[in-house]
Amino acid sequence: MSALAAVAGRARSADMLQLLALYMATLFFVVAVRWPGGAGSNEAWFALAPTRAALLALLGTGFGAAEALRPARRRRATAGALLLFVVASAPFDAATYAASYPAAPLWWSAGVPFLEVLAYWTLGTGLGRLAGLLRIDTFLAVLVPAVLVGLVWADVRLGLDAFDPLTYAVHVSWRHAAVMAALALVGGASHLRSGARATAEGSEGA
Amino acid sequence: MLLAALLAVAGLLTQAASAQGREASVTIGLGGNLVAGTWNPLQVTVRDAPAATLSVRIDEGDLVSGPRVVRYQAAVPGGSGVTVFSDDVYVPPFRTLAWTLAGTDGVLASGSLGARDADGRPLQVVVSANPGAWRAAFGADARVVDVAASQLPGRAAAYDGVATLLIDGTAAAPRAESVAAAAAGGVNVVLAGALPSSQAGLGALAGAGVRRLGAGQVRRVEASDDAVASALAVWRPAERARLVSALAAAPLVRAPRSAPQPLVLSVAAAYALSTLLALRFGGRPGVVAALALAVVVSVAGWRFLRPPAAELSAQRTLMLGGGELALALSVEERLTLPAGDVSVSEPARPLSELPYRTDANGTHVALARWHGVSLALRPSLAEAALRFEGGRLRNAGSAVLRNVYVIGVGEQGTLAPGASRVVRPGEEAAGPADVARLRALLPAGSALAEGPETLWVALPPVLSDAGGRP
Repeated sequence: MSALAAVAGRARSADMLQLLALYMATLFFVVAVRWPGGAGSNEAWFALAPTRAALLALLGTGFGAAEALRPARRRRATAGALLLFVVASAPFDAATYAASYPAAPLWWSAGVPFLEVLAYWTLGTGLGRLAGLLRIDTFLAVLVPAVLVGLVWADVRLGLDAFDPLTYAVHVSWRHAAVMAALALVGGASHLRSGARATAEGSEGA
Repeated sequence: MLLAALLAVAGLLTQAASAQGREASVTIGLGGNLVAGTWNPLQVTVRDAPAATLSVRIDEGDLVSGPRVVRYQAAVPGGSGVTVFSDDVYVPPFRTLAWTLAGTDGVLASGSLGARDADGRPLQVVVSANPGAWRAAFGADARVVDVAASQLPGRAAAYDGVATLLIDGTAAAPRAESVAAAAAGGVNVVLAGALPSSQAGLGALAGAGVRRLGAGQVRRVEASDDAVASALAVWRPAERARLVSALAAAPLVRAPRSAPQPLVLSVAAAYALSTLLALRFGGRPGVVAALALAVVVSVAGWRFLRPPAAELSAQRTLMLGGGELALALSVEERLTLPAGDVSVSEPARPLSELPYRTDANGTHVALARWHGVSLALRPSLAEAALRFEGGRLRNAGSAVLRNVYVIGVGEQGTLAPGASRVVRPGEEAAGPADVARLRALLPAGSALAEGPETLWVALPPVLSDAGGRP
């Protein structure tokens, strides 16, 4: 089965589709609330971009944690579906960015969400494995938002400029981009390795 | 007593530094007499010193709103011998004002002023060998200062804080262009008594006895306290600050309108539904279709919703003319959509309470997103296009002047370049609100006309013994 077919299959699954609908409904709601009725400043993007970043971080961490102990093929498909979330919400971002005319560059707004969703998916995977090891995976529904809130709090409190998806949705931070890229790479390398191991085990079994 | 006070203020304003034969002094205000809330002349004199940078820091904040800092920076050339650098800087009412003249190898001069030095009273400048003799002609509260003729600059903006320039011919003569600049800048220039033959050029500025020149006038009077007091009493200065405010009262630029909310929400809903349906029922082609749809909607949304420019600007100029000269009072409005610095290439001051900085590249104001600022540019002189000449109204410029109107007389139609006409009673019309605001601040008999981005005003000839109203 090709990667595209795997992603398509994962994306049409009930949990993904329902969360995608909820995700887009939330973005729609933000646009409805923040889009100016007549003349005046248009600041829709400054509400939409942090909302989108926070939701992507939550979805990435949540799916990463929930599927940490699933087969590598399934996790890859989920990661692909999460990237589909980013692309599917890009028109909301592009439209509000265009109308709001922010100082943050377009490449930041267009590129960083891809890194963030993969980075938080990696963090979620680590969290899920740790929870499985400690046999507290029952509490993942609480642990995921708690870890996210803790990371943002630590980021703001300690001035790390590394994890906060809200602030850096509208402000350029090279440190944030570097941390997100590093985490995304770690996640990608980890999956490649586990994929290769699974392939080797399959061929040995044959 | 007065002289001692003047010397004390001058001592505060001027600091001389002498090290290894170098000398440097910084003077703010006409002869060191600063007027808060106006443009002031600034002069730096250095002797045998390298090139330096003058930095002025003005805190115009208060205890409630905190510090609000205005910065001015200029490069002062150096070299052997004496180098004089002159400019005009707007000094708002301040809490503190500090300056530093720093070269590559250290500070050449520095100084500071406190809030009590921020005197906003206009200057009554006397150029005389015996300035005390004229003190009684000015009121008790008047700020009479004695200034040497050589200290009078030839720039109209330098006289923003000056009300009167009295010259009695007993001291060294000021340059005629300095006196003309003062008059055109809005100063009541009074030539008292018979001027010596060496100062005949100044007398010529007054014409037959009194003559309007730009926003001010030059008047000859007898050398007596009563005559001078009378000349001061009849003078009604052009209210330059209020004219600038009136010029900026109506917004010159407007923020772009966003697309209608119902349209945006309809498209967003249709897009979201299409994407969900494509993913649910489309399989692999559905994923490809969803990706393609996202790209198409993003590009279309960008093209449809993006405002044409990040920064919008418009300028309006009021040319306050009398005779052949006009004082240009310009307001430039800038509106920025992204947060950042807006800049104009000339020295200017914001009309709202905002920190800003001025340097060789112009004036820069940091603004929040979707915010605008009105900037009053430094006043300057130009040739008057609209003039009263021999009882006729004349267009001496190269552009057509429309909606010519004489306050108290009525509409006069259009004036082609080079054309002139006798002022006749016309229809009294209120005119647009922004023009009506300006009319209320101008004396009766003033003529107004609209040119490209410019509103021309010809102030009426001053009443003299021979008359001369239009």
